[in-house]
Amino acid sequence: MTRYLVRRFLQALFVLWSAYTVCFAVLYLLPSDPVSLMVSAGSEQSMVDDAQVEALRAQYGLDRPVTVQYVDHLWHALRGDFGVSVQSGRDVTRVFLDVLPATLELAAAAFALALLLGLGLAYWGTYARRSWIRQTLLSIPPFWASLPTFWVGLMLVQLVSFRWGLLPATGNEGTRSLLLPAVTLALPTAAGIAQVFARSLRATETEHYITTAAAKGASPRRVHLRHSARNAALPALTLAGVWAGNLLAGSVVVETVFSRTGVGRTTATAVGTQDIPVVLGLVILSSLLFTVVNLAVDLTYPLLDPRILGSAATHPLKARAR
Amino acid sequence: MTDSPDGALLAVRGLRVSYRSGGTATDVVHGIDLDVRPGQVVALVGESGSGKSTTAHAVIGLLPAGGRIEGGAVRFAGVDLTALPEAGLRGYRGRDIALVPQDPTVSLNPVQRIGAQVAEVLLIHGLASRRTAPAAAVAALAQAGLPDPALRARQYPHELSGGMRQRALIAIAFAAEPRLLIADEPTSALDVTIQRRILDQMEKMIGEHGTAVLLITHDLAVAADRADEIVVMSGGAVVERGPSRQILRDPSHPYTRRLIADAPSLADVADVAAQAVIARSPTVARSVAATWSVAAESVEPTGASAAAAEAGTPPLLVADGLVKDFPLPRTSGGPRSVRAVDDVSFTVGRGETFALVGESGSGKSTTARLALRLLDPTAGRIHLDGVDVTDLRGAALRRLRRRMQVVYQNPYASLDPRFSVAETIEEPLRLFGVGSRATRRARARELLSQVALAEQLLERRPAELSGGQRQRVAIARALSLHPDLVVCDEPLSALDVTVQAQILDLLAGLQTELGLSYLFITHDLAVVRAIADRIGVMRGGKLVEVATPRELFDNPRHEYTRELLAAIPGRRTGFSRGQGGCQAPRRR
Repeated sequence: MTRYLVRRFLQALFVLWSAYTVCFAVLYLLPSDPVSLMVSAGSEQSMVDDAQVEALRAQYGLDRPVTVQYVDHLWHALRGDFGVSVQSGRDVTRVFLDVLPATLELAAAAFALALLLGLGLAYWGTYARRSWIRQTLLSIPPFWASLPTFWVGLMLVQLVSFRWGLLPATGNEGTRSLLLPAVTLALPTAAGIAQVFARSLRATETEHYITTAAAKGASPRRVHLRHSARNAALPALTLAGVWAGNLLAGSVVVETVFSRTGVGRTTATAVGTQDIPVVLGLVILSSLLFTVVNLAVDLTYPLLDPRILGSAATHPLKARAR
Repeated sequence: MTDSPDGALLAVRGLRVSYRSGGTATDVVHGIDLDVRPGQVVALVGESGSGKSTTAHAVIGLLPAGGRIEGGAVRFAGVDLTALPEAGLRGYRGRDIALVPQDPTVSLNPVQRIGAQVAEVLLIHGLASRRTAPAAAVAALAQAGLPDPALRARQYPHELSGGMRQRALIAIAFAAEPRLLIADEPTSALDVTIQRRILDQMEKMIGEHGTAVLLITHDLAVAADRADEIVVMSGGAVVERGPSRQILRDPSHPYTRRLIADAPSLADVADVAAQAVIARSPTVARSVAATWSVAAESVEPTGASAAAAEAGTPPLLVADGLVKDFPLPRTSGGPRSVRAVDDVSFTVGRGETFALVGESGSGKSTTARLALRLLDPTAGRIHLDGVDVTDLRGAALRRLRRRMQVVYQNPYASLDPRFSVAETIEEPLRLFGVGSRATRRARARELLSQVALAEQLLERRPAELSGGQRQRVAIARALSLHPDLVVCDEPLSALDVTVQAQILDLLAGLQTELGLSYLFITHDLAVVRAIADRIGVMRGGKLVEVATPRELFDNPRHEYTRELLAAIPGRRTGFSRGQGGCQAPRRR
């Protein structure tokens, strides 16, 4: 088990490093640099002369060869220092710590909603008595999956906030303002979960253990819940873990549409202004979240599926769960 | 009791079942009558597709999707179950009528502990409370003969062997002390020795509880051993019924006679006439077998090659001291390994059939893979035709592959579903760049006729073929490169007895015709008696005994061989003559 954890940890480090490096290379290749962007952002371009630009470049270390810059950035990043934002002059770590809670809140709400909607939709869509209900319910996920997130967000704002005035359209104030962005963000993930879950529910119908359960005299509900759903949930939950990472990417659009402060909006701004330290910090943050989420999924999977690690006794989490 | 006036607990009358797919209904059971009295074991025997499983599932209303009872009555203790609503029928399932399913490896919920699955049936019918159910489940497991029942109850299905899982399923079936037990091929997925122990256990429990049993099986020998009465089904109808002894001794319907003739373990009953001929010499027996199966074939090759083998010609394949260790997952105790094959030596002569027999896990398949050079041995040497091939690599190994081919166990899995028959057979030729498109196609036609399949099948895909036809295609594919050695890895175990007999015929005929050597892997001694020249018995990675079938059946030296022989179904009733076995030839 420790070997497994060490191996996973090294893999995670490699993922972080390569994400950082690729991102650094891409930013370097862009035909502009942060200082000229910063300078041109001011209204009167003539106020800054070339000498000052060069001085600023030197201040941010942009005049050095690219390899030196890379090694220098990497070395600082390793020690948790991602530099200061070129735009705001604030510490990058500080910038993220300020906006991270809002985004985690949004992502967690969206994930819970996606699980609820996805699993529920697939379950009722598979087991509803009437075939027209089943067909209607099961045609919803592909429809959801095909809707662009920004459009859903705008429609929700338009209808729920402006026309009906039920919920606030923008802002970070409390649960009410969380609802619309969370729904917007949850829909694509819910659609994916529903499609995978419905498919595996159908697949369990021909399994022999379902016949065994029915032969015990179990009611259809019991068979569906305890035997079909328990087994069919495994693939859906694996994917759900992977998709949880996507929620972070989705937050870029959703936070912009709903004018929420958060990691997504900070990213959008930082990319727009080529704020290299902020973007690199964000890359590290999101790769970190991705790897942590995936590791968590891999470690919890044996709890759901006892077959994964062979004997129950060899898995520390399970041994504790007993 | 509220049983039927005639004393039957289960009385099926004129049962008709159909399957619907895409708007058309196909009748699969045409008006079956069936009676099972309390304490009686009735065996329903037939090939796959005969409707026996459908009948059994119809009795408890568990037909698969599309299945429908079209007519007739299923009276259980006087109540017509077909007239009951679904919820009413649920009260009977598990409580009064229990099912022991066919394949224990897939019939338990993989993510639920064994104990919970046994307790469930008690909870559903209110026979135990949440508090008492776990203990009751452990008691049921103990009664089903599971060692360490308390530990098993906490384990998951994948932590148990196939035999233990079947005992768990038996525990589930008996937990509520049902009055009728439907056993649907309860042991056909298990090794013979385990099969016997499981059937013994069931018999014991049936005796203790006075349970009535409807036993579904394709194996007449099992039915003969275990049932009071046999009902033979074919094409959805009953063709013959009667007391077991009478059916076996004096079958009246031709289909029953064919079933008896094709059951390898009942071969002695069927081949009484043949016995006299065979008894003379193995060589003659082989020739006789050959003339029977391949009508116009010369018997010269077999006679010649068998004689040559006896005269001391170097054998085709020599395996010397083969050892194979597999590493186990590392633990704190450092790296460990398991020895799957332990110092195994054997030879396969030209034109000879050498059989490796053993239970699953005995190392027989690993030995075959070593001989084929699909695995590298930890120690030992492999010689083919006098050349050491143990260390061949790259191109030389590829050339070696042409000379050794395999026919796998499951023809449903070993053929690419997207390849046509022609593509399947031509693939080895294509891979080795043999001939042009036209000559390859000609070779495919020739091979198809050798395995007795019609040329029209060339463009079909595996899904359109029967199990027997698929295995014939697999054999044709194995033969396409003119190999010297064909390894048959349980080539019959996925097939019905009648089809098994036909494939054995084919293999014997091809051997005569082409002078092939076979390495035949199987768990079923009864099957190899008919085809093998010599049999090696494997257990725990070791070759414990090598003998001719005659020696082995008449005078088994190793204790384990005796156990294997005793486990062959059909022996208890004496229909299979225990000590009389030798080279019983296959014939139609």
